[in-house]
Amino acid sequence: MMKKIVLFLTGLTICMSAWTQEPRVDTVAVMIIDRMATVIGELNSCSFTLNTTMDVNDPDFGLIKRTWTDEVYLVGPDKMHLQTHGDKGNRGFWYNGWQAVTYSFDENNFATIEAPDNLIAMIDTINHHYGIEFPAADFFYPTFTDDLLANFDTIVFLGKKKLNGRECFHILVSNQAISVQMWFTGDAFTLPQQFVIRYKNEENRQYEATFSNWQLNPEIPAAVFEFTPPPAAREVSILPRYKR
Amino acid sequence: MKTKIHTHIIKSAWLLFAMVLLCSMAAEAQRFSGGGGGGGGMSRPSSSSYSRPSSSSYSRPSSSSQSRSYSSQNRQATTQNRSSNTINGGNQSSASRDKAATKNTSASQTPAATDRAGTSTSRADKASAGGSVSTADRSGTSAGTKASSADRTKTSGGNQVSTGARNTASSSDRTNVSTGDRNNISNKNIDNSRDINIDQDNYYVRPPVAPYPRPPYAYGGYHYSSYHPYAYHPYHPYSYGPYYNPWGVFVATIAVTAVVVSVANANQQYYYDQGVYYVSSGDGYTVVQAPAGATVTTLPPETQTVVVNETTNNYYYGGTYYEKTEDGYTVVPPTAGTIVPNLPEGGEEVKIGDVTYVKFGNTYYQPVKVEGKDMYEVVNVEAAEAEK
Repeated sequence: MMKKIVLFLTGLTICMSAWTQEPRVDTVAVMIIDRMATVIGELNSCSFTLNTTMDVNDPDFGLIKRTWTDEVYLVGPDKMHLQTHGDKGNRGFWYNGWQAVTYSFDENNFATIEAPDNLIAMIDTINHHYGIEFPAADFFYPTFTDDLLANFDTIVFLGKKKLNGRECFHILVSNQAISVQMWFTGDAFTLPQQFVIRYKNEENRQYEATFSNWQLNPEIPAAVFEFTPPPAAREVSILPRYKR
Repeated sequence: MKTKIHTHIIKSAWLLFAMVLLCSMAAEAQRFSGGGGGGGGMSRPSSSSYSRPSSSSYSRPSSSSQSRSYSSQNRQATTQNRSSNTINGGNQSSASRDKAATKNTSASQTPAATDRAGTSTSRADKASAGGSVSTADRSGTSAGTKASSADRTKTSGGNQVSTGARNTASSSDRTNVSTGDRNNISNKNIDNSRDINIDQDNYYVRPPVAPYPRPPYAYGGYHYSSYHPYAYHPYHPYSYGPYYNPWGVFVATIAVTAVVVSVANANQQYYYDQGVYYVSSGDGYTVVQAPAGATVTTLPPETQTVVVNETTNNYYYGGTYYEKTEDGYTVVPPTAGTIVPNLPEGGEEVKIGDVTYVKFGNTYYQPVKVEGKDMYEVVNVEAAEAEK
């Protein structure tokens, strides 16, 4: 009898172990993410600051941190201004609904790109064709939750955590290649506060970004999204990726 | 007594199993009672042609689906006006989200892990976030829309960067970037519409003479290598004097001092004068890139010597490289890593990712600083291994 019990418990343990390794999607996590997506989806404008650190592989020293700060201004459906300062250089990006301009403060040159007429299409197109990065862009996709469900097999709520003095919902999504931890504020707005991406197949290098200075539906003058070339600024061509 | 203990253990084990099972069911129930939580499901802007990635394999049971769809439609009807000016057109929750998505899904229901890994990493890299969905789907459906000129007027307010007023003779691989005001090109008559059939096959960059000390700069499936670090300085074309004409310039006549140069395997006749090469073009001549293999007996006095390697020098004039031969000076392609002090008219600054190169003919030059002086290095451009 004892032998049977031991066998049964062993089998149960194995089953549960296998079970825990299967994909997990936590409804609470999905609800929180959906909540955040809904709030963002109803915004007509917003601005925020994003402080980012990213591991890059230095041939001499291995993984080292690069840091930079983005100031982001968005007005729906078709305006964006972005300024980046830090280890990636000092750059600005203007999008007025039909044209995007990327400007280098360091080189005092700029390139203009014809752009689609809404923010999401613009981000997609310009990122795809020119490799220009848009900070935390994923949070602004209208299908953010569905995208997570489609691309990650683990989505779990890790509980309420204090982050920078604020109570936040801590969520982890993961697949074989990357894991992403996200913190959303525990208040009425459920805004993203921080996210950390870990690249499992790349020495576990990390990308970490922290939001601050969230402004919801601010009045942002249209002129903010129009680029005016500074004195002596030079217009240069820009080469699309995968096309030479 | 022993039997009682055994019975107790068995009961405990079953109790544990049942609790775990109940937890799972409770989670599932919670998922549906919440209706997905977001319920945004609002309309997208009519101008947007964005569609969800097709990779989602979740399907929703019919009963729940009806409930959810109804709810979404109601919301859509009430929020359509509001969402037209929202940042992203409103949150969209797929009506096809299956309850399977909220429980422990089986492997067959989940997109292939390798696919996910590929798209996720790619997106996270590109867009710097963790949403990690296929951009191919998105971009494929989003390009090509553009506001009308009336809309532009409405939104620009007069301070926009006007491309309409600029010369629109942009090359095919550029996107709405003018060239007319760029690079201080003088008002020489560059006529690109003439049908000049120049054999470009023999123009390439010779490989570098030594390994590069640093990894290449990677962009768009190509590697860009240089010996010196990137040190941007604006491209100011060097003036070679009145005899020099940039490639593409059309002239009605050429100087009587021009000589015919023969080039092996060339399908046309070249004329050479003062470091400039011409081909006959209609009722005049067009300045062209020096044909590799052409040999001339004299070079202009402004010709400079540039170092190719420890034992070889080239002679450099106006973006053209020569080697000394028995018959004179023979045009050769540039060698990767060669440093030149200047570039003539006809180059174009091209932003390639984070780096601004000068493209002169088919050759990319990287701005560098050598012994405190602004110079240019011939870049070695190779297809990345994965794309070879």
